[in-house]
This record gives sequence, structure tokens and C-alpha cells, in this order.
Amino acid sequence: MNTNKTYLEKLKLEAANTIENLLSAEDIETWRINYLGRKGKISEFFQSFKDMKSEERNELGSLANNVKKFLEELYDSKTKSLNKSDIQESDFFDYSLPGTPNSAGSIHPTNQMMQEICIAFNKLGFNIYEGPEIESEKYAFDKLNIPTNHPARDIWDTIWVKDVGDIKSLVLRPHTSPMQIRIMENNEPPIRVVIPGKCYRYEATDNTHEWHFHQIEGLVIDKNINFSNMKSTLFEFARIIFGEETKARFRCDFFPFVEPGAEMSINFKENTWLELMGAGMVHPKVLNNVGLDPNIYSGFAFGLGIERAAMIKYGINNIRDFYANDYQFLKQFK
Amino acid sequence: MKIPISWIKNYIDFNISNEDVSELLTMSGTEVSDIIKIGNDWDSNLIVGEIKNIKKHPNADRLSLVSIDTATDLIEVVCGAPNITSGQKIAFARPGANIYNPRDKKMSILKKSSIRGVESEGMICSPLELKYSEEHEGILVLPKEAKNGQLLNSLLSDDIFDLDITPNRADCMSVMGIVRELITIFSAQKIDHQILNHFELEKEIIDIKNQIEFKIRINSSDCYRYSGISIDSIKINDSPFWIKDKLIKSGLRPINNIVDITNFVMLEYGQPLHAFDLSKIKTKFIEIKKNNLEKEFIALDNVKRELNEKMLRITDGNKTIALAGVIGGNNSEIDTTTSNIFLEAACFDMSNIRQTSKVLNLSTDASYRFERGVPYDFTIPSLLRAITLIKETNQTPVEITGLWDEQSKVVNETKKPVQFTSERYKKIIGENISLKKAKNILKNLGLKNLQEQSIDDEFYLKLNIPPWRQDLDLEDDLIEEIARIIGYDNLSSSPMQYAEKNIPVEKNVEYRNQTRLEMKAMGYIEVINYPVLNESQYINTKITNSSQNPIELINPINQDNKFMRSNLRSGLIDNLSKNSKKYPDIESWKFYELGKTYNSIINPDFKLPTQNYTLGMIANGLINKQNWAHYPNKVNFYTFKGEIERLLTNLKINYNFIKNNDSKYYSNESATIISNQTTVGSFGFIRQETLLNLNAKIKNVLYAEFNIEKLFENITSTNKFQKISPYPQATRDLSFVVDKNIIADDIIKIINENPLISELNVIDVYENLENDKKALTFRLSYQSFNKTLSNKQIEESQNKTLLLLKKNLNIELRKQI
Repeated sequence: MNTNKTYLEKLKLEAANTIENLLSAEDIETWRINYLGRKGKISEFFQSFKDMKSEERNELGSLANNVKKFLEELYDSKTKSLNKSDIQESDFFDYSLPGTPNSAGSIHPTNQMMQEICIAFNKLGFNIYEGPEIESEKYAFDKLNIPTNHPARDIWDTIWVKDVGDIKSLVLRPHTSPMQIRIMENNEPPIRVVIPGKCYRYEATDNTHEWHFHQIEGLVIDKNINFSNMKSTLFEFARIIFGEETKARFRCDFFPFVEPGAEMSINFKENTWLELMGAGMVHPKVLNNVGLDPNIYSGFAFGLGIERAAMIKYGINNIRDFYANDYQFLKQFK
Repeated sequence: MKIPISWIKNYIDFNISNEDVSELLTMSGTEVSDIIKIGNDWDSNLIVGEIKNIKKHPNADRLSLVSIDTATDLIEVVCGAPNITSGQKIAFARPGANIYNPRDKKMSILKKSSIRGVESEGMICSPLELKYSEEHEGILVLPKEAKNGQLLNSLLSDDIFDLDITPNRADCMSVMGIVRELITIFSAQKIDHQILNHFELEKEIIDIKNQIEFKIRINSSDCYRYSGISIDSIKINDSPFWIKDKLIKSGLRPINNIVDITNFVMLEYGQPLHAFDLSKIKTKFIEIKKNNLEKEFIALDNVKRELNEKMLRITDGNKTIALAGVIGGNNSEIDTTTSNIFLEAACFDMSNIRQTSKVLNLSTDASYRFERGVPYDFTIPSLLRAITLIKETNQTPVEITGLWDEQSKVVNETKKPVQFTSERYKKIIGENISLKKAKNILKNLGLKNLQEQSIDDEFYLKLNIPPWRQDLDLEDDLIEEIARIIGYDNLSSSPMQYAEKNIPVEKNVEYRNQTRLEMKAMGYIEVINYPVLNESQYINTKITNSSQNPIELINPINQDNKFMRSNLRSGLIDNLSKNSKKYPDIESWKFYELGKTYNSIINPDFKLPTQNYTLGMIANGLINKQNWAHYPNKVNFYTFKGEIERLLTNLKINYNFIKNNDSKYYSNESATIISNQTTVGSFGFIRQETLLNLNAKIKNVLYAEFNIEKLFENITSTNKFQKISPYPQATRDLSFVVDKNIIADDIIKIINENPLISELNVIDVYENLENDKKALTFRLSYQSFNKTLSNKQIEESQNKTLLLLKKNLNIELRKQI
């Protein structure tokens, strides 16, 4: 009895596995004859227990019938699918209909550009940090050698924050440079870091100015860092982001927390120079402010606007598009 | 600041183009933002003419018929200008000339025309029509020396440098400063040039025959120096053409000969001057002070302003006659009858002038210079320059009746010498500098060598800083001077030596990027919103049980939006509502923002308000876009929960959910997320009422918000390998009948107590059973690490679980129907 049952199970499995791999109508017909034909294996099996006791015979009969039915169904569906695929292979098929939608989202162009710049600097050995947007005046200005009531402060039109409890003189940081101070206060050189983040200025919005924007600050401090290293590093960065052919140049510019101060322009298409970032050697007064001896340590710092870099790179001509959050604008940045 | 090249060329000549000069200035730090060209497109149709005769137009009262001598012809034109007189030299445009048309604001070719029936064979030009200045009230009157028929561009053409001077370089806000820069650059970069004139900075002796009685007293430490000269027998008149020409090209409007000369000297030397009508200072006394004075003041522009006691004023002892360094008063102003003047040249405290100018919101050419620093030593040389110009241009001889020079403290003379060493230059710049080169540059910039030592290529200099370079303080300042004059582009560039160490990596930066990629993969579009809210947005999105005060801005860009957001809700709701209105065809919306939120709890590390990254996600409509092959379901609590689970799982964060209790904001279909025993966020359908309060005309909006930084703390960064069993899993489906108010989690907890359970899934929920019951079907996988499980073993283990379920939750297996 048990051997019969086992045999039937085996037969079922064997048949099902065999038909799976058959491709031609001819082979399937052979399979049908082999298993379901008049002299096939199922008929053979029925023959094998026709002399048994009726109780056992009935049980095996019903089991065998189930198997037979199962194999017949297999046969039907296989023939059907074979016929169908025959038609498809020989007939018209529209491969051009759209696939089932599985739409991907997007990452905001500011964050993509930010990420791209961070990766570039990461390749050049910089770590990435972030810092507070609501900042104290001390870090935003004083420690960066930007005294109160100095016209240099006009470079940063500032949005001020009402006192929060005992914490006074708060600003929405007008640049990422306060993080230079925080990094230097909390870490021993050597330091190589870039700090991306949001900044705010009290200024009217137009095609190229936003009151709310993003910058990346960079800072290198060590014992033997000089202007020539700064040029080399920032050249290399420009080539990573804007292509191998990119040319860069430096001119003198003024930021109170660097000396000498510089501005880097790049030239990567149409032979025009585009201002990209401010830079310079960290001012000895700033080093003193964080307790580093300017006779031992030196370094350079730089800062660039992320939206500006994205506008140059992607050809966006109105900065206001960035934060209107319009679907058609955003979905382009896969 | 604008400076015409012609003015610079009074002092220095060179053969390179103005574009090249502009490039050199820009690279050295004095940015030429524009070169404005006057007359570069004027052709032979624009010439000097002389008005010979003026007749009334026969058909128009306001027009005249003017005959003009162009040396070769006598031409009659129609002219409507009020300021024409016979004998004037004028700018004449013949037909064919390319001139500016103020009406349509375009250049156009002048044609012969008939005006009110009279042929006009050309035109007398206004300054604006020539784009010489903005003036269009009358015609441009040329100097008498101009020759009839002379080409106009030989007389007027010029290139004007529009300069952006950085706030540290007050010394560059003058012709003198720019000339000094050019001489230094030309000489360092070996560009041929010739110095034509020097600026006189030495004190001359003035012969005063009839000294008048007049006193000056400085009564505030914010006035460092106050010098003045009184001059008699002045005739107030128009300035000569050459003075007006330079003022106009520098962007200043000519007023009269005296005021023009004060402006001329300011532009040339950088020292603001002010002229008082001496006869209007009845007290014969000038006192510079702040206190005990009137609160209101009417300035030269006839605007009444309110003053405070911090503002430094020039007074006659009792009343204010000028606001020091900012603007003069109308009570002492020069007028057409003035013949006796007092010329002031002073030096004030930078920050006092800046504050006055800021408080009054009044920036003048004088205040702009004073707040950047006007040197202490220029008062007398500037006055002398003014006297020279007055003597040269006044129609009758003038008489100097007094000279005063009061000083409150000697500031600049005691400025400390600064050292310069080749060693420090090498350390900062990365290359060597020769002694000769360094000395030459510093000398041309006005620094005086006090001490010099050199051994081989190493050297040391000690230098005196000139009074006009307040910005030079440290050795590094001198290094910049040399580097910028050589040109940064001419300095070397070499890769830095990488130190082995760096400061530690901040992990959260990477986690945030990973979060963005996960969100993108799930179809979410990233937005970045302004982090400010108006009052109604603030109140309607405030976290229910938060007693914190909002963080408020003092000077927000938009007065209404003065609160810093404490969550991301209103921004994302607004993004969804605006976009779904603009793009009604789109049926599937998913946005997220990963941005900071702010609250008034003080972060002890920074001593600043807390400002943490928060993740907000919003979904509405279909799960995905639909098309011919696919009609997706609408997003619901469970599809949304699935996305959150996917995100947290992929970020390797352990979490669980509990019932949400923020019923103000969320509907009943919501939950709270817990990670490491702390609440980290909640999600679910937003109440319709909240959406209405925020003016969002959308429905069925799912929203989630997490304190992502807290979540990042719970990232299990080490992925520990778990042993796998070599034996097969066996699966059983079990359907339970349970009370309606039992949550799946309670059942799952009990099932998971069974050590043989390797996987569990809820495959069916049937809510509508009798007696407040529901049916939950679980698919359970059993697996052992020791052997292949037999039916019997599975059954035994399963029965234990069933007993527990019955005992704790009164759960029964559902009978087959």
C-alpha cells in the first residue's frame, strides 16, 4: 500500500518536472502518451491494483484519479501556453507601450550639488561636518575678526533672532564661516574639513539673490600649509566638478577672516570667467582667537555658494526656482 | 565709485589698453566691475558747433530756430531747449549721427526732419542724448575753447572705470589712490609708464594778511582733527567745463564752483570737504560736540531729520550747522550771494559716522568715505588743493583770511611699525621673494623703510605704515600687499602634504545622504522650504503638548513670517496643496523634506537653541502613477507604514509602533514610532480640520515626521552574521478568531515566544465576524537548528502557542467553514 502511494507521488513529481522543460508540441504529445496515454504510466498504475481489496483499491483509485486530473490540467495549460507563445512569436507585439509605472523620486538640486561638492572634497581628503544655523554674533562675526560697526559687516546683511531665554545676540548665520571657529575650538590640527549648510541674508530676492541659500565652507589647518597649497587644492576641486579642461584663476579680494584674501573664478565654457568662491589664508587674528599659534600653524579657508555652483553647472538662470518647490522643476533632478 | 581714465592720465601715462589696466586692477583687488565708454561710437556727424543766432519758431512758442556755425557751414535747426544763448559752443548732431533717444530708450540714427513746418538739419544734443550724463533738461554747453567743427569725441570721449572698492581699502576711493596702485603694479610687473604729476601732500606756508576773528573747539573724542580755511571775495558761479566734466563722469552733479571744488578734491584726494557760508555762522565759533543740542535738523536736502545724542555734530556753539561727516545744514549753506566761506576738512571716528549714517539711513559720498576711514593727515593738503583750484577758477582774486588746525589726539602718527620677513612670506605664500622686489612694492605703496637686515636670501624689514593705509597692521597684511601686486596668478601652485590624521568623521552626514537615496527610491520628491512660518501656520502646526515659546526673528524678510518652524508640517502641506492644484492630472503625490527644525530648548554643547534635522514625508492619491497596464491602489495607512518600515529597516534602525495620542493633528488612523524606548515620530492621516486651518484644499493626506537625529543614534552599525540552519522550513497557516479590540502586535508577541518560529506574516484579516470578533490569519514558518522538524514536533510546539493565546487573549483557532 505504502509503496504504491510513494510510487504515485514520485510519478506525479517526475511528470510535472518533465513537462516543465518541454518546448515543442511534439515533445508534449510524447509526454502525454507516456503518462496519460492508453498504455501510459497512469493506466499502468490503475492496472497494477485492480485485483486489490476494494477498500484499498478505492483509496488508491481516488488518489490516482487526482494525480491523473492534475497531470491533465498540466497538459492543458502547457498546450495553451505553447499555442499562445507561438502566436506571439510570429505576430505583432508592441514593445513600445509604457511599462508599469514605478516612478522614482528626486533629490533637490541644491542637495545634489552639495553632495557632489562634498564628494569632491572627500576625495581630496576632507571630512564633512555641519553646524548650527541659529548662531551667536560672537561666532558669526566677532571671532572671525569682523568687528561691530565696521563697514566690513555690510558684506553680510544679517537677520537677527530675538533672545531665547538668557541667550542673546543671536543671528541666522549669514555664512558658514562660524563653523571654522567651532571646528578649530573643538579639534586639534591637522584639520581638513568642509561644512555645507543653510545661510540667510537680509536682502531682496532677485534672479541671482536669495535671502535663504546654501554655502560650503572649507578649512585646512596644519603646520605647513601655504597659499600655493590652497591654489592647487581649489584648482583640483574645480576640475573635479566642472571638468578636466576647467581653468581657474585667483585675484585679491577682502574677507576679514583671511589674509591674504582671494577670489577664485573658473572658466569652463564660452571662455568667460565666473566668480565661484572666496578663499584665503586663515587670518592670524582668527588663529589667535581659537588659541592656535600663528607662528606654528597656518591654513586656508574657502566658501562657495551651492546654488551658484548649481546654476553654473545645470544652466539654471533664476535662483528663485530653487525654493518655489514646483513639481516640474524638482522632478528633473533624478 | 566711478573714475574717468582721463583724470588718472593727468597723473600717469601708459601704453596698454584701458581693458588691460582694468584687468590688472581687478586682479590686484580693486575690482573694475564695468568700463563705461563715452563717445566710442561717435562718428564725424557729431561735432562742435557755435550758436550764431536764435529766432522764434514761426509756428511754435516753445521752439526756436537756431543757426549754428560748424566752421564749414551755417546750419539752421529747430531747438526746444531752455538754456540756449548766442555764442554758446554746443554738441551738434548732423543727420546720420547715432544718438540716444530718451523717449524709446534706444540708440537711433538721426534723420533730417521737419518740425512744425520748418526743416531741421540736425540737432543740438542734451547730455543724455549723448549718453554723457542723465541730464536732459537742456542742451550740453561746451567750453569756449572748443573749436567749431571739431569732432566731439576728441573733446569728450573717455573711458570710465566703475570700481567696487572692498571695505578695507578706503585709500582706493580717490584718484590719488588708484594712481598709487597703478604705479605700484606697473612697476612690479614691468609695464612701461610715465609719472606726469605728483599729489602734493606736504604742508605749505600760507600767507594770511587779514586774519579774521574766529574760533574752533573740538569737544568730543570722536573728532580727531578739524582743519579749516576762511576765504573772502568768492563769486558763486558755474564751474568751468573741465571741473564739471570730471564730476559728471564720476557720477556727481555739478552745483556751483565752490561745492564742485569740494567734491573735486574729495574725488581726487579722498578727503571730504564741506563749505559753509561764513556769514551765516554768526557766533564766529565752531564747536564739534554731541550733547545738549536740538533734536531736529534740516540738512542741505531740506529734509528734517531726528537726531540723537550719539551723533557727532558741527555747531556754532548753540545750534547744529552740519552733521559731522555726513551732511551739511541748510542754515549755513552756500547760496548765490555767498562771498565769504569757511572750508572744513576733518577727521572723525569711523564708527560714529557709520552709526549716524545707519540710524538716519543716509549714506553720502562723505559718510561713505569717513566710515571706511579718512586719513588723519590729508586735511591740510586737501584744503591747499582746494585753494589752488579756487584761485585758478574764481573770476576775481580771493583772499585767505584764516587757517585753523585743531587736533584732539595724535592717532596715526603713533601707528606701530610693521615687520616683514622673507621667512614668513615663504611660510604663508609657499615661495621666495627677493629683497629688491619686496622693497620696491612696499615703497611704491607708501611704506617707509625704517630698518633692514639681510643675510644671503633671507631678510628682515621694519616699515612705517603710511596714514592712508589703516588696514595694514600685521606682517601678513604686508604679505598680501606683495602677493597681490605680483599677482596671485603669477604665484606657484603645489599640492599640499596630507597629514595622516584628520578630525573625526561626522556619521550623520552619511546617514542623511542614505536617507535621501531611500526616499528617492520610494518615489518621494525632495523639497526645501523656507524655515519660517506665519503666526497661523505656527499655531496650527504646533506640537500639541509643547509648552515652548517660538523662536522669533527681529527683522524677517517678510514681516508675517517671523517664526522659525518647529516642525515641517505646514511647508509640506503647502507644497502638496499648491502642486496638486497646478498639476491636476497627476494622481500620485509624494514629497519629503529633510531639514532643520528649531526650538527654544538650549543645546548645552553650543549654548544655542536646539536645531535638529527632521524628516517629513507627505503622500496623497495613488500609490503610483496609473497607466494601461496598471491601476494602483490609493495610499493608505498601511502602504505608508510599509514605506516607513522599509526606510527604517534599510537604515538599520530598530523600531516599534504604539498608539498615537496627538489627536489634534492626526486622525484615528495614525501611530507613533518608538526607537530605543524613545518617541521619535508619528504618522498617519492628517485631520481634515488641520488642513482647512492651513488653507489646504486637499483630502486624505498622509503625513509622517521623525526626529531623524534621534533615529540615527539608534543605527546598529555593525551587521552581525546570524547562523543559518541547514534544515528546511515548514509552513503552517493558522486562522484565529479574536476580539475586535485586540491588536495584531499582542498576538505576534505571543507567537514569537515560540523558539521554533523563524518567520511570521499576517496574510488575512476578516473583520466582520459575529459577536464583535474578527479573524486574523497568520502564516508561520517553523525551523530548527538541530533537525528537520516532523509534523508531530511542529504540532506539539504549535499547541503550546495556542494554549498561551487562549489563556492570555482568549483566542481560538477558527473552524473550517
